[in-house]
Amino acid sequence: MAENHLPARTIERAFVEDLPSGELEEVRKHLANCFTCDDKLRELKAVHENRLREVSASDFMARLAERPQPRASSRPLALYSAGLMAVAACVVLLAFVRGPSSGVRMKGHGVGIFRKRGGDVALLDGFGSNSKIRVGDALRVSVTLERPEKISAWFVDKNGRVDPLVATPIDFEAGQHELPGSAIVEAPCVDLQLVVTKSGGKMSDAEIKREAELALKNGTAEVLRCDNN
Amino acid sequence: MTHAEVNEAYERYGPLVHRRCLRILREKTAAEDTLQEVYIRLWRYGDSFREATSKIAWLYRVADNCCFDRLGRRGFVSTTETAPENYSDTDQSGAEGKLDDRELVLRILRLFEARVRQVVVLRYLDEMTHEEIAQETGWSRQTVIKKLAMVESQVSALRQQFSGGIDHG
Repeated sequence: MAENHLPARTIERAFVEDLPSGELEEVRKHLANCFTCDDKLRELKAVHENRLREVSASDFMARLAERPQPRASSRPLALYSAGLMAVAACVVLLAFVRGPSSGVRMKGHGVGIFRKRGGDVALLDGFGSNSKIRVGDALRVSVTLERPEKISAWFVDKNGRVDPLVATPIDFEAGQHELPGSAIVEAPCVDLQLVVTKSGGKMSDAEIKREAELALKNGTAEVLRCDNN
Repeated sequence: MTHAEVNEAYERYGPLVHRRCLRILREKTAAEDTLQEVYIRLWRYGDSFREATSKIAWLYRVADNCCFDRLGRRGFVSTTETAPENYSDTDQSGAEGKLDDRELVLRILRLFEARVRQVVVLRYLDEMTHEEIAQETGWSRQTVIKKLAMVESQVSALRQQFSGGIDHG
């Protein structure tokens, strides 16, 4: 990459006019005097035109409409925040309920969320800077049971999206167990709740969301913040 | 977001996002699918897109995550990739028709863990400086430099292994 040339991202941002006006002017001046960068801009124009010729906006929108709605798989879990550079507070709320509509039973007991960041694994307890999560973190959940139970778990984000972590109940003996699967924190992120049930019965998304709301209302939740710095 | 807003976001940014997916995934069908995934997310989480300082950066970040997830989840191997007609590859190969570092590193992208992939893409596709990458990833500049040095050393080892014998294409 030549120092005197513009970075690819800058040329792309200029092309879609995604730069502040002052910066855009500077880039345009550079482009007017730099054949190499201007050539890259022309290439972008060609790519842009070819793509729209190949798949027009109306065709693309039709394809989107045909896609099944994004029902979550167990991973990755998308936590969405406002803006890429924004320092957005992302809240993870933890609720542990006995079963559908039975209300939240425990607070901060029986469920652990482990965060893997690089090679480090930490138990998130809801307090202190070491309990924050951020983009790229992997989250795993463990449960401690007094007796054999059927366990299911979902993540619910503030937009109402329900992501199953363990959609089909798993029989566990008494003791501590790690739930299969993990969630990857992606940008951008929004508030999140984890709902773990000890019921073998099926729960609809609406019921899961209701349990999550109930946990919020009752204050029976651990709060973990997302650190986007 | 409304249908019209998503439509507009496709017309304006879609081709570039598609190009990026293509460069990372190196396979047309996967890139097309990932692009749709990105726009489905835009449709759903449009509020944060509206608030984003850089719209293209927002879309690229989501696209990168979708691509990395696909690379990681499926052990994506790019041996059967086809270069699409509208994908100019004038910047992919060196003067002798051999792969340049960018092309080589993108081919082995799936070997790195997720956040290193991000650094690689920001460096080799976006040509960001170490400082800019540090800002974008939240890593210190020193960490970014170390990660890139590790990547470069792997690229160099690969070059030796193949003795420059990988043909473009």
